[in-house]
Amino acid sequence: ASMSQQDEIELLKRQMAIMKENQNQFFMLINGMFVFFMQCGFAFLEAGSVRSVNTVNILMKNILDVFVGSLSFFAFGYPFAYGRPGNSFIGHNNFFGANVDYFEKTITVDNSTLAGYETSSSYFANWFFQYVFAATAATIVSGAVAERADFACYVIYSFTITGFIYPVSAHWVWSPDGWLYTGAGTGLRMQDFAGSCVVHVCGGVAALVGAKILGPRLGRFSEDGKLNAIPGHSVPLVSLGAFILFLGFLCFNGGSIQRISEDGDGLIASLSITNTIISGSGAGLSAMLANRVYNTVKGNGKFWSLLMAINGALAGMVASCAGCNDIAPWAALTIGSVAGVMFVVARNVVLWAEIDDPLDAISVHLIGGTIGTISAPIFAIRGQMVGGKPEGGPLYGGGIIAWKGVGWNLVGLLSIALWSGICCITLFSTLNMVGLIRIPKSVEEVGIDIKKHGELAYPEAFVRVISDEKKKKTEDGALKQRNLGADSKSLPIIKTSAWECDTNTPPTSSNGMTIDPALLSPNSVYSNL
Amino acid sequence: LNLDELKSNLDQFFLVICGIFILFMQTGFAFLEAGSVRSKNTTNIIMKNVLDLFIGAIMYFAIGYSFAYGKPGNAFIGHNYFFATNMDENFTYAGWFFQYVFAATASTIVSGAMAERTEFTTYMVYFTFLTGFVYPVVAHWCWSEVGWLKVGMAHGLSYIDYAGSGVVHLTGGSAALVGAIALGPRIGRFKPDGTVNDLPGHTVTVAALGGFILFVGFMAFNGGSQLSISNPGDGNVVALSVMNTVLGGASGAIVAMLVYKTTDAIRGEDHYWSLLITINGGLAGMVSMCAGCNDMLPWAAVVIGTIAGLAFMGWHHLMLFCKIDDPLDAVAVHLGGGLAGVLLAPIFQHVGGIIYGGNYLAFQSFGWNLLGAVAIIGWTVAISTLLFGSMKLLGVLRVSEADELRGLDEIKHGEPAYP
Repeated sequence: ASMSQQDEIELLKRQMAIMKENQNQFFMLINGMFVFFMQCGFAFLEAGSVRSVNTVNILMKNILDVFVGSLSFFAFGYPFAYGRPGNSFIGHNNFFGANVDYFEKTITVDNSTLAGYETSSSYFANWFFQYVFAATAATIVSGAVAERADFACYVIYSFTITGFIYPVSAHWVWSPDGWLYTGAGTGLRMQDFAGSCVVHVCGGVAALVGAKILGPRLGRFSEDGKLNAIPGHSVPLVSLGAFILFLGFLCFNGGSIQRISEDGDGLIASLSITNTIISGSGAGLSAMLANRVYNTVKGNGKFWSLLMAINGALAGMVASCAGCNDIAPWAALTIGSVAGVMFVVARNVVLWAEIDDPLDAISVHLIGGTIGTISAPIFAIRGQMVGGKPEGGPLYGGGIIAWKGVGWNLVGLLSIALWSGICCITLFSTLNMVGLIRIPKSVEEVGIDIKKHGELAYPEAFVRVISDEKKKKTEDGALKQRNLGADSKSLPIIKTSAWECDTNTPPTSSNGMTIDPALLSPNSVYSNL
Repeated sequence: LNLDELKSNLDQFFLVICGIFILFMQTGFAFLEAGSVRSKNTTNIIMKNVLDLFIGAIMYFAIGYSFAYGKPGNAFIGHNYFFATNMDENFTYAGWFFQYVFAATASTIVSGAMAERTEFTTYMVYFTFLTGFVYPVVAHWCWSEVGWLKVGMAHGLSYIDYAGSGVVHLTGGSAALVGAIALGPRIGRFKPDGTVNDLPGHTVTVAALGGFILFVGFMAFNGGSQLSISNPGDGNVVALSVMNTVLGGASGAIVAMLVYKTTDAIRGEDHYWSLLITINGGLAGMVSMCAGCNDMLPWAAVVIGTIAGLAFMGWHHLMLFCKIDDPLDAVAVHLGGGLAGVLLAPIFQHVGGIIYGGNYLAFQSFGWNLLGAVAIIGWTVAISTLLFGSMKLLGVLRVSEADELRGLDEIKHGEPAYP
């Protein structure tokens, strides 16, 4: 017997609801996986930007940031950010995944759940998507403290940022309980779609505090205030990382709508991705130009800098996060161009303040995030919602409410910056007082990889490194390194000091080590085995 | 009036997207291996990874998928769809592609343990057997509806292995073990008095790149094993798998790293935070998740990942103790992690597991999984011993000593990795 028409419609409705739920989760997972891949991109951006003797260390930190972050976010981060019930400051439920309806779900036909809140079985997809964002915020900091942060310090602050500092700022803006979301009585809602403020300003301020409290790398700033270049060891790795970041950023922004099932979702996802790439492109080009102009004016030589282009583009994409879902592409281009120029300006300000930031993480994320947070409500098309209908942005006839929205974003920006700043100052100062914050000078001079990881990044190129202070005596007086293998008698001895950064004698290789060129042939090391 | 067409399209799209990520894991493994061998052998190992992909495709197209999923089939092996002919509604191209990338994963594990000293053509021959016969038979037992491990004995007993801790990783790991034993260690690896020389890889950076790519791909590996996205609850299971994979990998990595540092510190030797150990521990953790990540609570993932990290460290030391040279710790990761996964999944399963059910069937399920692990390892070891043994007897398994010292890139490929 065939079904009655009513039954058919009911069945169809149920099928549609199931389909929507599945597709939303699939959408979140695929985008989340690409954002996870950004961790790889950031790892290589950092690896290429540090000296080769510290490469293993920075890669290790990036891998640990992923793993420590996941446990921290599972245990505390997600509950603080999105646990319900929660108050307007912080959430407080679902610790270690408790009190969650894991597998049951009653599907209602008019299902339009938004992200950040689950009463049902979309917990896992939501958790994963939010986790990759939290891991992004934490990994920003590792760039600013590269080459000199202690390992334990890193694990502790990574755990704290993913588990507490970031979740609170995410709670304010993205949880339906948070005060920036609800407006705290003003009726306004902070516009930060993919986290210019929540992720990048939060991480950028943490990076600033960390870099400042840690102090510059040895030899970076001379006594007379002169700046010494400590270039990274591999531009191709930086570029690889940059490309992966660009790819991942498209999903960072495109996936932030966190569903694909309602009318207009595809449009918003596509608009976000379009705006991201346009903003990034504008920023990359303008940063490259601004840098060239600046250096020409200052007499430093004329160059088209790849690193400026890359970092500028990242700054532009960061700036697009806040409003990419609600601005026109021409606005994205404008915002990006401004972000690129401001990135170059900020970078020089940071250097002038004698803060050592190996990756320009502060300039990219803090400045890019600030520009994004301020510009998103200015250029918004739909703007604030009043009574469920969009009022329009300031340029689209929104009136007073629209400008109030700009003000609310400023309030949010300052609050999150202050929150992150105060927490990080407390955290890093405590670590500083306990003496856990920075690696010892002897380790920094020789390179962290050998001392802490026992694995050189490029064992064949660096046959032997001798520390001037610590020598374990063996018969030939050479330092026996655990992982340099083989018979120490057959390997020649090279004296190095990790870097000599006095300006009169520029280092002979990018990391300041002197190496006998004859020994660079890869086969020579193992020919005696 | 129904959504069947849309469902079918979305399912195929899901399989293809996940399959593409898993194919990208081949890149990850290629880089992990490339970074872990010396620069004179880099081109060689990457070539093996590239060819494993292509040979696997041809073999799996020709006979592999047929043996694994051919309908009709008996309890041991399938026998239809050879060369993708004679298809019925059970055969989809998306299904083929997804199963193929799994087969390619199993076979690429073996190249890690046999790196730097294996004769190239011999290795190609072995790949054809692995993707064409050894792996498909195992997949048939465990994943085809008529396979004997899946059918079980009675009343709902079945071999639990959602994404292939056993099917993929035990197979690959045991084949790797046999290969490494048959080959013998690299020259200079073990001194006559028994001490171990580290023969470090030439670039940790590239190995780390490979590690990251593998982590991302593993989420698709486990998430995609649901094989559909249109049925009720699919999205939830896929998301749970991904979350468990992340947590399992995290626990495995952190535990392995800590154990490595503290055991060396306790022994009074130089102790380090080793990046390669961390990466491999993370992989072992994710491998252990494959068996049951679709049906366990996240806290269980942390526990199992921890145990997998410990198992990985145990196997790592066991291999060195037995003087078996495994340049990538492939055996420790895949055999150790796979065993942990296969044996622990029945304990922690949310539906029908020992902790949450505790009935007789749950315990039987553990026993059946144990039997499955033994069967898979036994089958793989037997066939691999035959293959590698005969190659060794013919004298074609290992490269000559002069070649090994000189480096395989120039001799075999004429393309040194770093001219």
